[in-house]
Amino acid sequence: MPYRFLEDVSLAEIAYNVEAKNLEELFRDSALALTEVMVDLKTVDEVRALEVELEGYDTDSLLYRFLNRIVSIKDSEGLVFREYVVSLNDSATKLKCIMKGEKIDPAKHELRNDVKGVSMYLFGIKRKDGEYTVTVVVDI
Amino acid sequence: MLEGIPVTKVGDVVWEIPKTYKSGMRVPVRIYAKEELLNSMDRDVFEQASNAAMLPGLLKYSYVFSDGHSGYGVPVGWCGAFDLEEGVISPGAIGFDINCGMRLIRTNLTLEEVRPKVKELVDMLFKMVPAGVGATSYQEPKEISQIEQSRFKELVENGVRWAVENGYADRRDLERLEEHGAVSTADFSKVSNEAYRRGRNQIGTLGSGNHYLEIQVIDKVYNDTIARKWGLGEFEKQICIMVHCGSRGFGHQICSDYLDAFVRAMKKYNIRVPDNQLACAPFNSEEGQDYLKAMSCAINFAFVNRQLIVYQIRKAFENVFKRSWESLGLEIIYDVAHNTAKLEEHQLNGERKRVIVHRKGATRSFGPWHPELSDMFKETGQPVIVGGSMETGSFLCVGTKKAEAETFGTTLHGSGRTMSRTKAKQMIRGEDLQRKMLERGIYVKATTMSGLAEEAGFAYKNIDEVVDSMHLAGISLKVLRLRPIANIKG
Repeated sequence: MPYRFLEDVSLAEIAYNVEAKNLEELFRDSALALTEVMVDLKTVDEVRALEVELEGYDTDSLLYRFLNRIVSIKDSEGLVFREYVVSLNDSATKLKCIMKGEKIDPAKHELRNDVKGVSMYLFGIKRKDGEYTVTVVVDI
Repeated sequence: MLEGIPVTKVGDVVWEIPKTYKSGMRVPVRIYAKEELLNSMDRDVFEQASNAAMLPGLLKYSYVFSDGHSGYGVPVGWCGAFDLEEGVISPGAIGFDINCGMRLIRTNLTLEEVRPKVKELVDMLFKMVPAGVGATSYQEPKEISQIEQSRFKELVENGVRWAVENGYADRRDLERLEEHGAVSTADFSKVSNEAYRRGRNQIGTLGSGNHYLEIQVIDKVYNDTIARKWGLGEFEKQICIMVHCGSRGFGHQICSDYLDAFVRAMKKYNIRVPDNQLACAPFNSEEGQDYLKAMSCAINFAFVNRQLIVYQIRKAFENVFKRSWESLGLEIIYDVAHNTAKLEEHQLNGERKRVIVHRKGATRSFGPWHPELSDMFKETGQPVIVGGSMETGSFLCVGTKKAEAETFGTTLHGSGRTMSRTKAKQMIRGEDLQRKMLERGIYVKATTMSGLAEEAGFAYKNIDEVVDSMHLAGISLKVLRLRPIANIKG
């Protein structure tokens, strides 16, 4: 699995770690893990698509804003996604993402935690041996 | 976990870490806890409290209370007061869920009257108080759902006064809320559109995580005089209702927006902190003032959120018991805020001084005759509502003059976690926990079973020890204890 949930990082919240070969994958898998905290991905279908464009002042801030935007869309539009197609510019400070998913339906979806946002605690993309990793602590 | 940390005992349940522990600390750390609790705190509590002691303009101490556990950047169960001229305001030292708080409601009902109807009552409440992922405001009252921007502005700038004017609160309710249900520093123009879009359909919703609505029975009274003055403990097995929730996605978005902005502002003002979660701006700067105004909107939003939930609770009880909420005696006892920064006047070096008090997972604990308190609390001090885990019970305490003198009028907020959510749900399945609780007379309804398992009682500290610590320190005194008979979890 490209992401794993961590047992003892944050007592009151949920934390996970992502490893990826490139930044696009890191962004995608971070988004999938975040969604997995909210809903069992297997119960979500690709009914509609939404395109998001974002900018950060560096790659860390772009990922932070991207993940928080996913939470924000869950609250404002009531949408959850099971697929994220991410493209980044060369400096990895701008992002385009096509998100595919559907409206939250408690009768259909196996819902989990109502995430409020992603924190900056321990947040920061690291590069090691050609791989990218990030730890994300989710506020619930 | 204290190895290598220079903690010294300065009172029966009071400890200090000197400011020499880490370079850059401006004040010592002060911890209020019984020794067993102190020893069981995770190491990050001490590291984070010491880091917070580096924030500019922090006065007297970086305080940790008996329920302290590590948060991000700053521990939960923490308080710090800042000088208005030299000090800062820090979103991370307030918490993401701005004005997450507790509300306690009394009833005229006894356990015997409620027990036969508890399932019907919980099912009704579960329907009328939306909870969990994607929950939106209940369709009745319709005008709350998808509230338009101009009315939303009135709501977040006026707090519970808005709820009174719109028929969701009784005028008397205002007397029984911290800050009378609104802070005056709110300015909606400092709130992002994204925050509004997240908040507009979440008014009157519970959320998830450790947020809950609980039906409880009073099972022990420690201070009969105060309890009776507040309308509690006048008869055996009195039923009360406790609500724990906050400002939902609205408050979180405001915190995220400004945390992001403050990371950059620190460069501008040449402020250095050991962790980005401590991002801050000078209180008197444009950024600092903007955050104060936006954060105040979230404080008011949370007061209204809990008020709308009380409105629905009153309706649900009326539906089940076929009597008006007034005749059922569903009066608010009090409402306390946990995650806030507020302008308050405190005694410092022999004079009254206005400071900005940050409380993160901590409760205001004003004693008798404090000018902020309504007449009904003048003689007693303010109620301090301490929520425990859904299995073990909760406490109602009272604020003290000693808290005002020692801790900027601040005490603990809950029992505090000792185990991560991921670990808790590996130890028990939600379904098993639900069945075990039912066997013990606690009917639980949750939107998710995994979320329920995360909140198991064993994941929390012993509430009696936590409350006793603050009682022994004289910072908040026990009035009565409540145990749950039913719980709704988001």
